[in-house]
Amino acid sequence: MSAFTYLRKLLLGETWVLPAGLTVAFAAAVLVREVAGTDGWWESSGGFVLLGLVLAALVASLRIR
Amino acid sequence: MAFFLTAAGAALAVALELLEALAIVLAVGLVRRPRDAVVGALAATVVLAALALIAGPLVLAALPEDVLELVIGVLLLLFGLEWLRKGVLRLSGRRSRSSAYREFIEEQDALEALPPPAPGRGDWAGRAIAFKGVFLEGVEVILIVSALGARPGGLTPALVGAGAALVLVVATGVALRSPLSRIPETHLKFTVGLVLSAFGVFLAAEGLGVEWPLGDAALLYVGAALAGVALAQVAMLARASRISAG
Repeated sequence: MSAFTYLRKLLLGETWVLPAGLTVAFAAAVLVREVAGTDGWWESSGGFVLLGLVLAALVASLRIR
Repeated sequence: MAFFLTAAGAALAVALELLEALAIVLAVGLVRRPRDAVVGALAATVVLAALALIAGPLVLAALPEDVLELVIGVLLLLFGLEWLRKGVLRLSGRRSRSSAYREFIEEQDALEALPPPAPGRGDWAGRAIAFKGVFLEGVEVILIVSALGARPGGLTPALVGAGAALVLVVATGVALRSPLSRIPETHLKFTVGLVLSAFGVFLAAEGLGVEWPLGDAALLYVGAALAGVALAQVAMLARASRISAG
């Protein structure tokens, strides 16, 4: 296994779906935060938005193989 | 709460990674020569210690707190969700169970195919295999412990957990001279995936300006939500496999 392949597997895992899903999840969370404003409901409830997006990324990584 | 979860998460993650490294070192020691296995493992430990000094105090400590929380959160999610994904696939029967003992047997078979070491000379093949085994598993240990230890107040529990795991695994290896074959590795890795992922969501959200209701106790309901969805996926995938099998 080459050094690049090892590093890719170490950091991104065996599938591209999970890191791609996480990227989408964080991009969506940042977008929602920008729309909602950092002092509004985001501060108390934004964690649940991120949790939901991360769970969706996990489920997608199990379905798309 | 956070202290206990950090220590437990670090201990479990480090113990499981070290069990895999131990399987390779023991195979080299038993098939080749114990001294060369120890030399390779010690050399890898020295390199890993240098890497730990760079990853922890130099790189992570130089970041502002909110950026640090976001970086650590993403890093823990990358590791944690991958462990969780594999755990779901293993528990649902879609993938073979994890076993350091099986790796030990496979490594022994591969080593027996190599020419034996020359008497009176250093066994560089054995040393290199032991070095690679310890180094590759150790890099993951360094990244997980650095990430868990980089949050405010996280260093002590992360080091306590990692130290306890190190002592336990090395003592077990010295005493038994064989990897444990009855450890429920698949379930433990699933649990580590849950703990790392819960910390990942918790810290990444804080890095994005979130104040979790109930403070550190949020780790419990975030972990419970992850566990609920993961176990539901195990049940759904297992049922789908049974239906397609007949």
